[in-house]
Amino acid sequence: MKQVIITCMLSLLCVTGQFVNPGDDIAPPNAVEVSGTGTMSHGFHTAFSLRPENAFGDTGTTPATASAAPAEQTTGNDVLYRVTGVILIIWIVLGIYLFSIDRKISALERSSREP
Amino acid sequence: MKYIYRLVYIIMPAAIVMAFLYAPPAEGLGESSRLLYVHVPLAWVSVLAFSVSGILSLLFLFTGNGERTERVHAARNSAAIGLLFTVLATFSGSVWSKLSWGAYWNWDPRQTSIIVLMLVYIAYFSLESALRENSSRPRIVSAYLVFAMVTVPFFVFVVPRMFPSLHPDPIINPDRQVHLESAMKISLMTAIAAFTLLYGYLLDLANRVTAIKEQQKGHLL
Repeated sequence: MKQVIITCMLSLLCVTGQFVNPGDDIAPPNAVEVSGTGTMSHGFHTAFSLRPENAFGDTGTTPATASAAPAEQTTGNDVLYRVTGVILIIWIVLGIYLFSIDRKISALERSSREP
Repeated sequence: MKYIYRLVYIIMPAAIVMAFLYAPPAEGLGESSRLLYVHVPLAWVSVLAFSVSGILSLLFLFTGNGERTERVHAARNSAAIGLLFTVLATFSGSVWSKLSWGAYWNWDPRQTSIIVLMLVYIAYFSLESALRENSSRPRIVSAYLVFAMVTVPFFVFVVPRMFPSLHPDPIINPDRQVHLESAMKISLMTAIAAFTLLYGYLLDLANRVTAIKEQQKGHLL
C-alpha cells in the first residue's frame, strides 16, 4: 500500500511538474488575488465554463509575436508528449504491481480453500 | 465483478492519453487546466468511497444482526481508500490553486471544508483502533461511519456554497449541466470512469486480503 501511495504522489508530481518554473516565486499571469471584492468577478466561481483555448484567438497575441507562437507550440507539444510518456510508464509500473498483488491474493485464496 | 475492475488496465492509459493529447487546454487556465482530469475524478471517488462505507455500515446495523462483520471490514476499507483519494484530491487541488490563484493554500471555504472532512475520517480510524478490544466495536464504528457519511454532502456541496469562494462550481452545479466543451467532457468522463474502476479494484483487493486475514484468525482461534 505504501508503494501505491508513493507512486500516486510521484505521478501527480509529474503531472504538475511541467507547469512549475524553477524559482518562480511570483504569481502567474492569470493569478487571482485571494482577498478583495474585485477578484470575485473573475468568473472562477461562477460555473464550470471551461472553454478550449484558441491558438491565436482572444489570447492577446499580436501579429508581431504571432510568428514566434508556432515554435513555442511545438515545444509545448514535445513537453506534453514527454509528460504523457512518463505518466504512462508510472501507470504501467503501478499496474504491474497491482496485478502481482492480485495474483498473490488469488494464490492465497486457492491455498486457503484447500483442506 | 473483479473482472470488470480489471478494465482499469485499459481505461486508465486511455484516460491519461486523452487528458494530455486529446483534450484542449482551457481558455484562461492554459495547460494547468489538465489537472481537471486528475483532481475532479479524485474528488468524485472520495465522495463515492465515503458513501459506500456509510451504506455498508447502514446495512450492517439494520440487516446484519451483528453477524456479518465482513460489511464492517468492507466499510473500513472503503473509508481508507476514500481518505487516500481525498488526500490526493487536496494535494492536486492545492497545486492547481497555486497555478490559478498564486498560493497553495488560502483557506478557501472548499479547502477548509475538505480538511474538516479529512479530520472526520481520521477520527474514525482513531476510534476504530481505540476500540480494538471492545466487543461492540463493529456497531460503534458503523454508527460513526453513518454519521460521517451524513456530513459528506454538507462539507462537499453545502458549506462551499454558503460562503464566497474562488473555487468553480462542481460538476453537480445549480444548472444541472456540465459546462464543458465536448472533447473536454469526454476526457473527463473517461478519467472519472478510470478512477472509479481503480477504486473498485483497490476495494476488491483490500476486501479479499481482509477475508484471508479473518479466515486465518479463525483457524488460529
